[in-house]
Amino acid sequence: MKANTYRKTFDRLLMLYPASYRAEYGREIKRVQNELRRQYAREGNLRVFWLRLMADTAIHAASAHLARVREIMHMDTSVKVSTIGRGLVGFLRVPFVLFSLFLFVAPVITAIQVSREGYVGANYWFWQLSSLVGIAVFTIAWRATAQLHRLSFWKRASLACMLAYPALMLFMFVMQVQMHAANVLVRGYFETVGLVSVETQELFFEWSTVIAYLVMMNWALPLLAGYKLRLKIVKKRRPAVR
Amino acid sequence: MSRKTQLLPQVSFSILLALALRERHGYEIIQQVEEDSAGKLRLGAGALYTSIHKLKQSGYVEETDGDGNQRRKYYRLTPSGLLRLQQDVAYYDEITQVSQQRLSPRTETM
Repeated sequence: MKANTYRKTFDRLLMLYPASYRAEYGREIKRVQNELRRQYAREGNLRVFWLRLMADTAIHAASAHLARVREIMHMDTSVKVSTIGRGLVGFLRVPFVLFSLFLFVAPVITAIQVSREGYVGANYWFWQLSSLVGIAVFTIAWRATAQLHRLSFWKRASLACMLAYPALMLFMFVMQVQMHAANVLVRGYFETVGLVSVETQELFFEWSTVIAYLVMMNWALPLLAGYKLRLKIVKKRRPAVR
Repeated sequence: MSRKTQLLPQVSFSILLALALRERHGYEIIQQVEEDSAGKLRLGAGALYTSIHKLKQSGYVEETDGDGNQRRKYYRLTPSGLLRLQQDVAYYDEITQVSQQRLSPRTETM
C-alpha cells in the first residue's frame, strides 16, 4: 500500500469520531497511527495492526460519541438545542446530497421511461434538458465553492446542491410557463388562420415547445459570461505563488 | 484514598504512570505503557486519546508545548494527577500485601 493510501484510510477512519474530538486530537491520532503502523511493519505484523486499528476505532469512536452526548446533556438548553441541531444537519448532509443528486438525474430517467413507451415528444427533451441544467449548475457551484472556501467534501457538495436545486426548479418552472405561453400563441394563430390541416397543427403545437427552449436558453448565455468574468477576477486577485 | 472513590481504569492508570517521569507525546506514552507492562499492554491511538481526554477533563493531565516541538502535543501530570496516582498506588500496595498474606500459607503448604 502507498503512503497516500494509508493517509486516506486514516482520514476516513477519523471521520467516525465526533467533530469536536477530531478538531482537538485528529492530527495527533493520525500521527500516532502512522508511527504504530511503522512499528508493526518492522515486527512484520501489519495485518494485526489493521485488525487492531479497526477494533480500536470502532470501540473508541463509539465511546467518544457517547461521551459527547453526555457532555451535551449537561449543557444549557439553548446550547443543547444548537449543538443537537448542528449534529442533525451534519448527520443529514449525506442523505441530502445523495437525494439531490438523484433528483438531478430523475428527469433523464423519466425521459428514458417514456421513450420506451414510444413517446419522444417535446417533454422528452424538456426532461433531458432539465437534468442537464441541474448537473451543469451543480458543477458550476461545486467549482465556485472550491475557490471561495476550504470546505469538507460533504459540506461543499450540500452547498452546491442547495444552489443547484433551486436553480433547477426555477428553470423548470420558467420553461413550463414559456411552453404554455408558446402553445397558447400557436393554437391561437392556427384557430385564427385555419388554413393548415389538424395533423400539421398538432405537429407545430408539439414542437413549438422546443422552440421555446431555444428562446429560453438565451438567459444561460449572460450567466455563462458572468461566470467566466468572475473567474478572471478571482485569478487576478489571487496572489502569485512563489 | 477513600474507598468510595472509584479506582482509575487500567489504561488511565498506565498513562498517568507513564507521565510520572516526564512529559511525553502520544507515541512516547504508548511505548512507555508497553515497557511498563512488559509488552502486555499496547494501546491504540483511539484508546490513548479517549483516556487522555477523560484525564484532561478530570484535571489529572495537561497539555504543554513540549521541548519547543510545537508540531506535537505533549502531556504532563498535574499536581492533582500525581496525588491521584499516589492514592491508587497506595491502594494497590495495600491490596498486594493483603493478597500476599492470604496466599503465602497456601503456597508453602502446596
